[in-house]
Amino acid sequence: MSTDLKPITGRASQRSRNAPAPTRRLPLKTRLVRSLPIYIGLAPFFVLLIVFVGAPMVYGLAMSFTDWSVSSRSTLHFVGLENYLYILSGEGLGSTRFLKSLLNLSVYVPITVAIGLGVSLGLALIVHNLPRRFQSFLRSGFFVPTAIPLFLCVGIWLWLMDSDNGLVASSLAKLGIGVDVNWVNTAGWAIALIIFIDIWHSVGFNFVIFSTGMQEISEDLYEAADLDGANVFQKMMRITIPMMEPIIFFVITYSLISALQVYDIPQILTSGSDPNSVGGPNQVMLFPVMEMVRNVRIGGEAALGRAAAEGVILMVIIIAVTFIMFKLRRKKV
Amino acid sequence: MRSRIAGKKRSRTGIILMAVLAFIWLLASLYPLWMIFSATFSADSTNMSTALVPDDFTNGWSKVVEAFTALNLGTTLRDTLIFTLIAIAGMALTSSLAAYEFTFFEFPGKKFLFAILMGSMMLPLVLYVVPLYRQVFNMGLADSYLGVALPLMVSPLSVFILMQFMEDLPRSFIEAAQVDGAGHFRIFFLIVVPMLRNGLITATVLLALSVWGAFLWPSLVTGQEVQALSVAIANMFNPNFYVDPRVRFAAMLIAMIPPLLVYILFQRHVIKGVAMSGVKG
Repeated sequence: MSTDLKPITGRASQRSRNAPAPTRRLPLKTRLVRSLPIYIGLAPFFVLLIVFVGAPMVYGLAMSFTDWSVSSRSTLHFVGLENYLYILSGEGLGSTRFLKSLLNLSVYVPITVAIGLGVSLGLALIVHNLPRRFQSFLRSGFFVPTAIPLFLCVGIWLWLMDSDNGLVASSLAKLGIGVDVNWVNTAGWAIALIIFIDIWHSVGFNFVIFSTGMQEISEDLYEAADLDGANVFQKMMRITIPMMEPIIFFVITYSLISALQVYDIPQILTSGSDPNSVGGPNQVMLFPVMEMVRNVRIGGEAALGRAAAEGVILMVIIIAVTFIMFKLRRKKV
Repeated sequence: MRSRIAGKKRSRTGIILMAVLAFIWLLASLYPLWMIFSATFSADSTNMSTALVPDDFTNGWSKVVEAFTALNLGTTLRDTLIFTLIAIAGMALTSSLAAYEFTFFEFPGKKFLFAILMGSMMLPLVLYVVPLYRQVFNMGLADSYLGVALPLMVSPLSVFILMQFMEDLPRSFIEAAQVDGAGHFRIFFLIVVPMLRNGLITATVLLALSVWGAFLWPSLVTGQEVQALSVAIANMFNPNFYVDPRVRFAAMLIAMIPPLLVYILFQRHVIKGVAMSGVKG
């Protein structure tokens, strides 16, 4: 098909060479008018983006400085930094819960990102060295848990990790891990359970990114290394990993951002009829987004203002982490 | 000579060891699904945790039927399908148009708008979900199909993926059509869209999987009129709400079928789309 098109390409480019000077040189006003259809084409997407992303963002930022609550839109008061001071003060239920959620987050994020990276990169390196016919087969299988919605993954693992007769929990107990432990309710184990489910679900995603990235690496490099007598391990460390550096950086950044938003797994594991029970006893698996949603559910004075402030704090954390990651990368390169 | 043979032997055992590790993870990925399946289709007297093979299909089928009748799964499935389709349709139209303009044209403000697009990819929904919920509520869209679907159809990632597919299209087509005097949107609908089949499938399938699995947003915005599958299934895990475990598993199996089917049918597109989202780095 592409061969048929060649003459057309030639003719078109010749014509454009004879065409009037590029639009760039025209005055801005003319360019804007000429670009009108382009702006019309962009409008649907950008209108949605402004209405459903930009506006809520600005709205939330502004409302985090007010006593915004579910019922009091008519009597909104500017309260300055009060919401921020309250949730970070350590006094009162809303505050202790939020601080506990940040503490849990600081334990959960580094561990789940590190293990997730290790497992998916390890698997990708392994599969990269296996015969081609296994590669696509394994890749299809590894991605299945990622294709399954997270809420179903939670349901599956809730059953497998049931402390009474869950298949995996009882097998682990036989190995001496978590004997008589109720994984959902026990401090430490609860976070381990979330990490477990998160890894099972997300390894497939990172694996596909790593594995397709490795296929792009030129065979010539490996052949040259073979001539120099390099072994599998040396090729991994000297060729594969350095060539994968930008992709590894992307996966770490992306994993950090998504780990900071952790919500579905702990929320589903601990949801009950009482909003205050979310996060489990002693908030063993409470995370910031869950606390935001709890504020919306319980209502009360300034509840939405506090939820908005918590959203802003989480945003600052995410932006800071992304910024640090980009700084680190620039230093390395 | 000798050392070369030894080296080959070592690498062969290495490869076998690596294959074993890979197959262990494959088993860990797939076995839990089989467990859910065989537990659902087992007799009530069978211990579910050790039900390695399904042994009672009639009992299992009655649980599937019960999941539909007692848990009202039919309505939930229909509602979820409707808002997923709305989100897909909205995404396909808005994202492909935006990708078309960014890929093929130069215009004042392009860099600025593109920076906004890339920046918004970094901003997850959770950051603004509370004000978004109030805003959708104030617009009178809470608990409606549109209310659920509209925020989910805004997909900068889809624009990004579609742009990569469009870059592979021959520009000469568009230049030739322009020379022939075809209008801006006529070129889009009659020339670009038909050639964009794979790109649209990839973006659609990825969005379908993520909307079907969305939990936080539907849990806030749905209620009586619209019911989301994720919320209904998650409610079944509430310890205060007793459901026969086999009925619960049957419901989970049903909820799993559409995404698994989509994945199996469009595997190549799913993998390509995921790989493309990694290209950002």
